[in-house]
Amino acid sequence: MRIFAFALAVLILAAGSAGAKEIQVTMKGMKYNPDKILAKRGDVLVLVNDDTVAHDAFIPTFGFGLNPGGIKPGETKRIALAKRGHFVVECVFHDTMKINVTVQ
Amino acid sequence: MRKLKLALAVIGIGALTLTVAAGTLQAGADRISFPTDFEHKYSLYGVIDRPDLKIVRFFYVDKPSLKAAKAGKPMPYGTTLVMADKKAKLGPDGQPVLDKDGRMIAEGGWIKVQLQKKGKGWGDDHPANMKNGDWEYASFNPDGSRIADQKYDICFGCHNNRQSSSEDFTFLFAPYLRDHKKG
Repeated sequence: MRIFAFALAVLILAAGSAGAKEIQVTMKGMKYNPDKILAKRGDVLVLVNDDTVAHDAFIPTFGFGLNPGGIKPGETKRIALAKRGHFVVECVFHDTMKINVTVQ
Repeated sequence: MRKLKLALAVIGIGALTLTVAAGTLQAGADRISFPTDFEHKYSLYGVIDRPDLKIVRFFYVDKPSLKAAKAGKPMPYGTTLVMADKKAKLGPDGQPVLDKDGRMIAEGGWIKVQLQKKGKGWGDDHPANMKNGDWEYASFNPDGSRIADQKYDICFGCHNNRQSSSEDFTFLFAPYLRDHKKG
């Protein structure tokens, strides 16, 4: 019985982490693509700079504030979505670049 | 010989311009005094995790300006924004420790305090390429002493990316006001 309970627990944990996904966001032409994201807690935003200039993604939204640092062309930065809610990702250098993110 | 003299003159003027600009920026910083006990007297409007720098940044604003701005008025002269840093708690791997919401944990006292303040006519002395409206910047050690070798052109250059009227050269305060406006 104990072995069965342990195996069940392992399966549940594995199912939970298997549900988490990586969401790729491309920076190109001074735009984020996609610019609207619906994600689940545990997912990860993968920001890929496919542009010819450096960008600097940051989250100004109170309660979610984060700046992982500049992203040069060809570089990638990851943002783990550990908290539920809504926030906006901007770019320090380019004020028109925004992503609206909702984490459920 | 003539070309050499001309080249030297251009270099000299360029160097003089940079020196004057740097001096102007330092003079602007001198307009701002250290706000004692800001963490209790001011209002917190943002916290930014900086995993790249292993610090946590706290943002405060003076309460009268916050009240005026929340009521829908433009950020008034006298608006004082504080950006104060603390070290992030690190784990055995040297990386920031995260709480249950994935947020970094600040520990210890302040390590640096930087201000952005708006005053009437403060921008008049600056060249166009080193002007953020009427905002000035100043950097302090936690004991209130000024940081002697701070490069304020970095502040002006970066904040220039938010020069639209809706942002008024701020990165966090304008978004905070949009999310927390009255009415």
